[in-house]
Amino acid sequence: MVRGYLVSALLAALVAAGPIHAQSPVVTEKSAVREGFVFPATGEVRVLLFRPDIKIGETTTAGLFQTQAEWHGAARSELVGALRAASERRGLKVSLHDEENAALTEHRALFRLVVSAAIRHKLFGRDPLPSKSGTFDWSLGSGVARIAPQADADYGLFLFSHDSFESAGRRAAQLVTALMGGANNGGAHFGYAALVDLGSGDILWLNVDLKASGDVRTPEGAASRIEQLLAGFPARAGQGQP
Amino acid sequence: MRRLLASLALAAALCGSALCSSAQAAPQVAQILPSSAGYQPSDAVEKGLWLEMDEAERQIRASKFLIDDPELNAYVKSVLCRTVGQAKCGAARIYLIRTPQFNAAMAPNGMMLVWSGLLLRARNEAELATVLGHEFVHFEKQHSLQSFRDIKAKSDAMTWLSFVPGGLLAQIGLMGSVFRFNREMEKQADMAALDYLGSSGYDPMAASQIWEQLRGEMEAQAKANKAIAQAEEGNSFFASHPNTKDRMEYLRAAARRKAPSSDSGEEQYRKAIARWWPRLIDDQVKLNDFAATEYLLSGMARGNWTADLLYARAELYRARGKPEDIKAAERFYRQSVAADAQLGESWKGLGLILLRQGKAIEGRRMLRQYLAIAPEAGDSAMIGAMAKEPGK
Repeated sequence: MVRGYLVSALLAALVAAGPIHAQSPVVTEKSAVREGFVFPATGEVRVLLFRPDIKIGETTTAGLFQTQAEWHGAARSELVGALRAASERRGLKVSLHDEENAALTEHRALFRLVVSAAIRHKLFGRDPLPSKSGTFDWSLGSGVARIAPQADADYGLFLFSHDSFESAGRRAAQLVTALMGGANNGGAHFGYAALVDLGSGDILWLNVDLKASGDVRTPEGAASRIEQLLAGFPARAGQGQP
Repeated sequence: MRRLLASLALAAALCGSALCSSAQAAPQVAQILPSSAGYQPSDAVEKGLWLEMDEAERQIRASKFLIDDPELNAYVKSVLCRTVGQAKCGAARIYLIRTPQFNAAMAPNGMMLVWSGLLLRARNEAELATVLGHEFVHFEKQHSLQSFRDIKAKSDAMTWLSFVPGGLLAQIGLMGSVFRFNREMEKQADMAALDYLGSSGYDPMAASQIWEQLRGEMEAQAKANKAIAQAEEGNSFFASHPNTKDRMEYLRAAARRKAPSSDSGEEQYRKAIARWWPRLIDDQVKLNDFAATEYLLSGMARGNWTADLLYARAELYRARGKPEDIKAAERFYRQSVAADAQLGESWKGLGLILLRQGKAIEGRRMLRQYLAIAPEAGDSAMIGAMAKEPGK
């Protein structure tokens, strides 16, 4: 659970650190595909969606994050529904893996670690690693096969979405800050999605969106968020972007 | 400051005995408490905290660190039930977490985490009951929730104060009051846990004794690190818990006013954790925290070094591995097998430490003793290879 906060914190720090580094417009959205990966030209593409990691709540005046249970319920069902619809349009067969088991919990933790490394060292290029230059070859290892050995799927999809809406007090305080010449942080809306090979554990695709839009509590907002999170999703062999 | 607040909020969400803990908001008289059956969170703040903890609980339930031994779980639950009463204890879901530090935590949704380092350190059932009762009070009195509300209100005020010239002093005052609020809740939990010890017939002195022991361990550790023991510090302005010495003292004074009881449940406690003890002490030894572990072992032995304790002590010295430690470890292993010739692990340790000193023939003989006692051991192939006479 603390891990989750760390990833959120890392992402938030990236958002916050953005303007300092940037001469050119800040890049807040990046994706990467494992070299040469495309889905097979024919046949069913079966994807297991691991229960999405969703955080949604309000930023208090001082900037504390306060989870809102009702928003969470709405966001969860809207996001999963929107993902199903988006997958159908892409010709994917998605099933939801809702049950937490030891192998999944273990790989979630590993996944967060690997993704934060990929974000830090690759996607946004803040601390590039020479050994990762020109490649995107992170992997969770073949242990992922233990997550859902019975599942009728070849790929696993991780989804993370974090939204904090400013409370009225927060908006007022931000206004005062702005009047006094400070920076207005706004609410934070970010997320990432990743596709993993359920046999080898290789991360096939990763997309991170640090400044997402759309109110995920509504069907339209969730649909637009899912489209942003699926940006750069791998195509089928012989086709362009789906 | 932002980070400090965020970590405060996180700490508040999980009210841990060694980490967090207070209440001017005591007057909640006619309210239904979370320990009553069917309680549901009321407003948005409480629902949000519950949801976050429910999500965390999903992960913990499937964690590799969970000790899922049904017998041990049932035992810890039974101690909680005796302490707080059958009517209430059902509201808590206990998770035993295998991690060697002393801690327990209770979330507002009824999830209670008990770290295995606590099971190792408690010397009897009454000491365990002290900590379980303390955590249960945090839950029952909704301390996490109060703490979050307190931090939220005060940090909001601090934000506004930051716009006002001269607001800094008031901000610092508010920060301090957040910690004071926590200390008050801790003390409230300490005193209510003592009442529980009294009503359940456990020795009330156990409450101060477990802190006494913890303080001793912290001092031993600090002495080794040439630092000031945390227990030595004064009642700091920014401390979330009352200092250990104060705790010990007010608990001891209050326990004297209770009806004395000699029921500390030492025998049944030893029996209940006996199967786990070797693993718990092994985890502790592997922390590589020599001074604290040595203190713990001496406290457990109280002059009577059993074969098990000698084995653990030998392992501790072997792990540190200074030249004089190797000699000491060899001595402790020898004393251990002398006390109990059936303790295979001690034969193995003795064999390995002899090999390390170049005493190959005797070392191999000791390893063969180990294999004779534990032929099915997981490392028998490896040890077998080491025990083989060269050229055979």
